[in-house]
Amino acid sequence: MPEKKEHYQNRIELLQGTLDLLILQTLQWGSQHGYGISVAIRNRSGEILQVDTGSLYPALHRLEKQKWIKAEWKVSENKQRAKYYQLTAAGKKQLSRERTKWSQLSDAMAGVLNPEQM
Amino acid sequence: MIFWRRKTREAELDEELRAHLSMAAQTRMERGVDPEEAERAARREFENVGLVKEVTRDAWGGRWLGDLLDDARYGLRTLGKNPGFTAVAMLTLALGIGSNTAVFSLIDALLLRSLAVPAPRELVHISFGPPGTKGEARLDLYRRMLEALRHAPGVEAASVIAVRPLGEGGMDESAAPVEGNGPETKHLFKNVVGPEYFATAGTKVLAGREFSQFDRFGRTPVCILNQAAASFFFPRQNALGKHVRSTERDAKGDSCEVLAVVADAKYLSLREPASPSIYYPYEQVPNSNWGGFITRSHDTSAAVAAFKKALSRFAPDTPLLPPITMQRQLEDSIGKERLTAALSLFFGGLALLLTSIGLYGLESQRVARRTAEIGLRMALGAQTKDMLWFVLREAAVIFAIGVPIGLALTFAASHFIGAQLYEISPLDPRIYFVAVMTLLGAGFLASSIPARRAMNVDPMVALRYE
Repeated sequence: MPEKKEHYQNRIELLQGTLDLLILQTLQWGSQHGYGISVAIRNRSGEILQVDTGSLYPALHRLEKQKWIKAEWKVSENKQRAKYYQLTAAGKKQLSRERTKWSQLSDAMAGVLNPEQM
Repeated sequence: MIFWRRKTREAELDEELRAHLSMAAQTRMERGVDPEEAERAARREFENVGLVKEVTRDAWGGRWLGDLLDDARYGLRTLGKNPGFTAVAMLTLALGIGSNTAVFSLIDALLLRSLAVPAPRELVHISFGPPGTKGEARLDLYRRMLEALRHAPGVEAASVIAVRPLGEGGMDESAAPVEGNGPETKHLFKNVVGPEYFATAGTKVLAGREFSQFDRFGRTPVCILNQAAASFFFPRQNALGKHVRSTERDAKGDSCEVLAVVADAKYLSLREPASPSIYYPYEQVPNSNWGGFITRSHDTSAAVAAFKKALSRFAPDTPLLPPITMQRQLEDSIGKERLTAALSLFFGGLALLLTSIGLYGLESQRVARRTAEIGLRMALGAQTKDMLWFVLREAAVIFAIGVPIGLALTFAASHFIGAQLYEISPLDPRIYFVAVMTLLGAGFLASSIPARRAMNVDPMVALRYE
């Protein structure tokens, strides 16, 4: 069943790329902890996008390693110590690059899917 | 430092995920869910905490000490479960190191060290049986033979030599310096040579000049010392022009003038350092048995033919003794090393082959058992290099533990090995390096084949495997 395998891998790859964009975008409004980011993505996407922790935390740590975001321990409004992430200058640049890439992709997708509107 | 950092990171990750869980539960409680149920739901939503930690750790990149410790523990368990394999691996390392030592020493003996003579293939030693003449008549025969040899086609140089390098036995003489503070007697290795002997043999003349045809009976008695003898008799002085006297009982106070100092060369055994030596010109030692001739030429058989012809002309009744090239002489004198090396190479190679097969079998079995796990990890996006390491790390641990044990075994056996080897200590780090690298190469090959197979596992096949 080679098609199935291909499909499976494609989905994973696509998700990884978009998740980075979603995280960077979410952090544009201020520093936030992992749970806050997942809640924000869920709410802003109208409950469509559910980011599972198994993807979220590896992505956060990867972005931190790439110095696009940096982390700081702070106490939340519920007196809970939590690790807050915030965008770095490099992260802001990366965000605009990712956004451009994404809008190109979505334009291209739209063009393919609705040729009569172009 | 790295370990500490890892610990901190680990603790931070732990706290980060715990904070996430408790905040998720908190949110639910605020919506009116009772605390216990809220926590259960948060946990359910979170999926597997251990798995999340593991994939997050993967994002850190680099393998840290903690992983290495885990790997080491894992490897030790595997070794414990396969005592036979472990024993073979250790034995192979020990044997491999031993055989490499022997081979290295042989290469060293044949190629690397400066031997008694630098171009052994071009040198041939020729001698004849007792000529039946004495005194001046015998001297005359030697001069004629030497002259004939020097003019033979292809012969570059020729001389007379009493005790050939690495031949059988030698002569010795106790002697003492005439100049200096008090007579310090020393047993010297004694040799009798003709004019231009050192040029023929290729031994460096460090100071002074060689014997010439004018160093004859009746002229000033002269001699040449090798460096070891010169620095013993005349430490930190120029030995040229000084005198050395024989302290043998029948010497009657004879002394000779030091004409030259030559480089140390080995005559008795390759296994021992060169002895302090004294050389006399053959024409000044008329009663000695001068032995034979030495020639240097590219075509040794032409030199031998010329010698034969000259002998039948000047001394038709004297038999020619079998000529021997210096190469042959060298090979004969290191025959024991050669045999040891050949045997060790054979057994070392055999053991290496067996261990490689064993490692291969063990690894393929392990990979086959874990096909499902490997396939799943690949499907979840594990990188090829991660999986390669996953499979290789066991072999790596076997080597990380096996090499020191193998080395320790070899150290224990080194006393025995040392006695068998020429001019090389079995503790020579270069040998261990070569041996260990050879084994590492073989081990890597044996493990990378099953590793490669593991990575080509189709996730769907792997999942159906259960």
